[in-house]
Amino acid sequence: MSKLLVSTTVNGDAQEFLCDPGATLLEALREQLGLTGSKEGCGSGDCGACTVVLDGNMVCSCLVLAAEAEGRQVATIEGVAEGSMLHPVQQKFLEHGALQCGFCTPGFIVAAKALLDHNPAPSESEVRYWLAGNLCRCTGYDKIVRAVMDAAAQLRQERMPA
Amino acid sequence: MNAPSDQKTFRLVGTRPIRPDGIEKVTGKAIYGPDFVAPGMLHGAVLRSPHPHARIRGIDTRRAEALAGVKAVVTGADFPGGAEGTVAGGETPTDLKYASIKCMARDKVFFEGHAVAAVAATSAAVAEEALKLIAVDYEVLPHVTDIEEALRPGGPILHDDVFTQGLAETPTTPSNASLRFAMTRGDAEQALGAAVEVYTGRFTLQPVHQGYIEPHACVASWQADGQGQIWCSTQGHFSVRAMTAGILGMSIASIRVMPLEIGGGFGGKTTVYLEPVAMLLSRKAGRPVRLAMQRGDIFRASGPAPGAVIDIRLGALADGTLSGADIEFKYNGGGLPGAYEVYSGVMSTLSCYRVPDANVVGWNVLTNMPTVHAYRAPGAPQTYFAVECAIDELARRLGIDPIDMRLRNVLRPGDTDGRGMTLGAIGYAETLEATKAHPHYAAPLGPNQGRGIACGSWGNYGGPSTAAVSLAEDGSILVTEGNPDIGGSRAAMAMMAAETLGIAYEKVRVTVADTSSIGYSMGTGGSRTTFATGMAVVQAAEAVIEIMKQRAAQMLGADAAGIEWRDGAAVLGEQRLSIAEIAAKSGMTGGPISAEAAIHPGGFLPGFGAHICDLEIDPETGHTTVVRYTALQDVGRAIHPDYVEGQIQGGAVQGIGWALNEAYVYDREGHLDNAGFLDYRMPVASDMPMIEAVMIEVPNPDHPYGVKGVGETPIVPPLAAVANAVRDATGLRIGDLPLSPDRIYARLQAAE
Amino acid sequence: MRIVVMPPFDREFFGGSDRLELEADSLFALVGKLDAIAPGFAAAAESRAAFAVDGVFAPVWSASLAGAGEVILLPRVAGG
Repeated sequence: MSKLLVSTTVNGDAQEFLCDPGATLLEALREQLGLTGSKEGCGSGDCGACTVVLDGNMVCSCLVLAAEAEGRQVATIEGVAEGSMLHPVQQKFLEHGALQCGFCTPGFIVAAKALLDHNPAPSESEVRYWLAGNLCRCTGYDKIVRAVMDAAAQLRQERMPA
Repeated sequence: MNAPSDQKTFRLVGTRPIRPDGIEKVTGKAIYGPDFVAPGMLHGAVLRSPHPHARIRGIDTRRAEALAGVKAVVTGADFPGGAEGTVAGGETPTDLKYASIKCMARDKVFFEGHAVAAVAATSAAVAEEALKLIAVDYEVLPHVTDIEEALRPGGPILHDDVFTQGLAETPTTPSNASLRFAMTRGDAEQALGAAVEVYTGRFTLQPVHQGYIEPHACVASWQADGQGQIWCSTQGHFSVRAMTAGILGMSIASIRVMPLEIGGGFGGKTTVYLEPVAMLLSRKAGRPVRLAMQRGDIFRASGPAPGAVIDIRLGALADGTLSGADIEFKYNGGGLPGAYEVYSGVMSTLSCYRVPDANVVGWNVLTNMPTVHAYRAPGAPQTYFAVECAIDELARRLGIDPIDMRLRNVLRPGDTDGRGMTLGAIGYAETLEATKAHPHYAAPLGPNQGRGIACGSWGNYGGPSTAAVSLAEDGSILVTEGNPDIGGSRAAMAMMAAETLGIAYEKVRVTVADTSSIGYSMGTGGSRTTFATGMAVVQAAEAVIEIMKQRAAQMLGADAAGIEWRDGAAVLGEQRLSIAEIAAKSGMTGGPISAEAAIHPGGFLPGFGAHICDLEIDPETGHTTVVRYTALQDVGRAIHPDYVEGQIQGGAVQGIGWALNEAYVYDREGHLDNAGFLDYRMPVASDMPMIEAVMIEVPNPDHPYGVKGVGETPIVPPLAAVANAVRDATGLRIGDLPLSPDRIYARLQAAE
Repeated sequence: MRIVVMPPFDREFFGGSDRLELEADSLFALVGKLDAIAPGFAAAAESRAAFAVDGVFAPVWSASLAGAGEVILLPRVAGG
């Protein structure tokens, strides 16, 4: 079976990789591009640990074929911070102790950033439903929800005209 | 109520600094089990049994071996025979014979998903292809997954060499009941006869999985000189070393285990499933081999917590005093003997109450399910579920407030528990008083809502630990320890070291070292790490202080006895030497400054929690929504409160999941029907309210900073807290978990 | 000194008796005496027993038992 050559953009950088036609985007990110921040918890789209943003839409990268990334924009956990500057969602996860083992954390952060990118003032209920596709077994979600709400508040503050 | 009994104040203990491994975990840089890559690595895959119970008549691997790209194939025949004895030294003893069979079946498979062969190949796709070419000749045997069916005479017997342990007379016929364990005090029958009220009931629970999000994964590399390396995610890399060595007949020092970051464990990663298999594949192939489980494999073949059938009679006097108990439970142990949940279950039953006359009997029953493995307070949530529901019913009958009922019976300092252990500075009563005073307890309930109270306790543990503290040349501090950081323990270690040394938190960096770089440490489990490893860190830091005082004395030309250690400096009168100054001169005062503590502390104290659950039931559907939840716990003293609260919140939600949704569902053929996160329904964010964690600080005098273990206790109370709230909302006592909508709806319909 | 033998050790090694009277200077010495009564006990104890001396866990077997009134022998269980 011959491989496909895929040209795509990951976190703003042009990337090319070879993959099997059946390979998932998650496999390509982790194995071809060495971006292991996106995790595989289930491989069936149930846990959200592999969450990435594809052309502005939040997706489980284990449910997307690698070949579908052709010509598109992929944003992963590795691109959330700007250089050494953490995104407010990342900073608030740290300040609230919103991670224990940290394995689900990349998926939560990508998902939470996607939420705040289009809804700057989510209610607690909106945060909980938006993140319902991301499983965390350690925290019981309390501190995660608080961190996201706090990050939203900080982003609103930053965006207010001086 | 949150008043420590001793009023020591600390600079750092009790504050909430950012964890030292935080940034790499929020940026995706941390390397977990499935992320590690070794040069030249092969990809492994495991062939698993489709049958829950079968004899293996033969395995033909020739076609797989002939496939291009396949470098090694192993089956049970490749495992050395005679792996016997137990792996001791801290971890709850593991029987190597069964640990080995759990990794790879020999002449029989005991559950669907039991490994029968494994392949290493140049790619994952080739390895998967090769599995299809392995022909296993199975003689399918009748199977059993239900506890009581497994005990029925004439049914399938899993092992013809397993005879019930713990009977008065040595049995002569093999049995699926592998173990009976009982604790008796006083005369339970007489006490029950004299009780004013006796609650009699039966409770059933299904097996549930630990549900860590990170799959089991490892890379193993064997060298021709007999040395091996393993990179894996585990709660205890020293146990991985000992078990792999024991199963494969290697010397322990020849195996070096590198702990990667761990993505959750909850007890489930205190054993080996893959590492010995990967090591054998590597030995055959001569290259490093990665093995990883898929989620379906994890559900089918890694240890869930045991399901249970529990019969209880609990008696009380008119004033609410618990006077007698007769409890018999049967745990579903899965396919292989060796589970310890029956021991901890019996010892945990009634462990926080004074019940003078009690008879507690537990049975481990083997069935064609994956062999159970430790899950957060292993063995305790099941029996506490029965006991706390029974107390709730007795309180109702006697017209006593459920918290008062528990306060009347709860153990206090100086009391002896059911094992005969005298308990020291426990804060059970303080926790209950705080529960009663909490605004949640008096808050009004809405329509279709109910409130439940339940308690729970877990004995905690000490166990052996090694830690080293050393000074870098500029006086910054390195802490080296051997416990994988599963929930923020690096932060706690850094805080305790910095507190002891009198320096800033940021001056201390913590490394979780591999098995060849630090002395033995029992795994991260038993709620022991911050207690025992923390104590080792403190002792090593204190030893470093003593060395620094000596060095300061040399520098000052003074007697070390006159030197005090204050605020991170050696002080003699007006003279003061900082750690940096002492470190800078260390080359002239005798060399590097470093100390190690290798300890095995007693002095651990049990944890105790009391939970309040409010929930609402939709009478149209039977669906339950938890609307408010408060969890109070005696935590000793919280080193880093964020991560203590996190343990309480996470444990509570796991318990709520166990109560409401989670269950292994087997079909008639003995196949697991819900081996994925879609159908095995763990709580998600939209299912839960905030979980208010209230830390009651009654410090442990036998720990330098008052630590008691906190991780396991919080999963114990929720099962009954939820069931008692359902009882409050509906009037129905439902003793069967999970309290799923269909079950509640059916009971509501039947009651109408 | 009273030795309280909890299950499973009572039946497994001591013919069902759960109370013994023995004198010993340390837990090492005590285990030795128990092994003399029940051969094989010492090896089992090393891997799966825990001791409590007058109600307090005693992981160090060399500690003095002078003045101790009661030793409880129970199965070692760590947790998850």
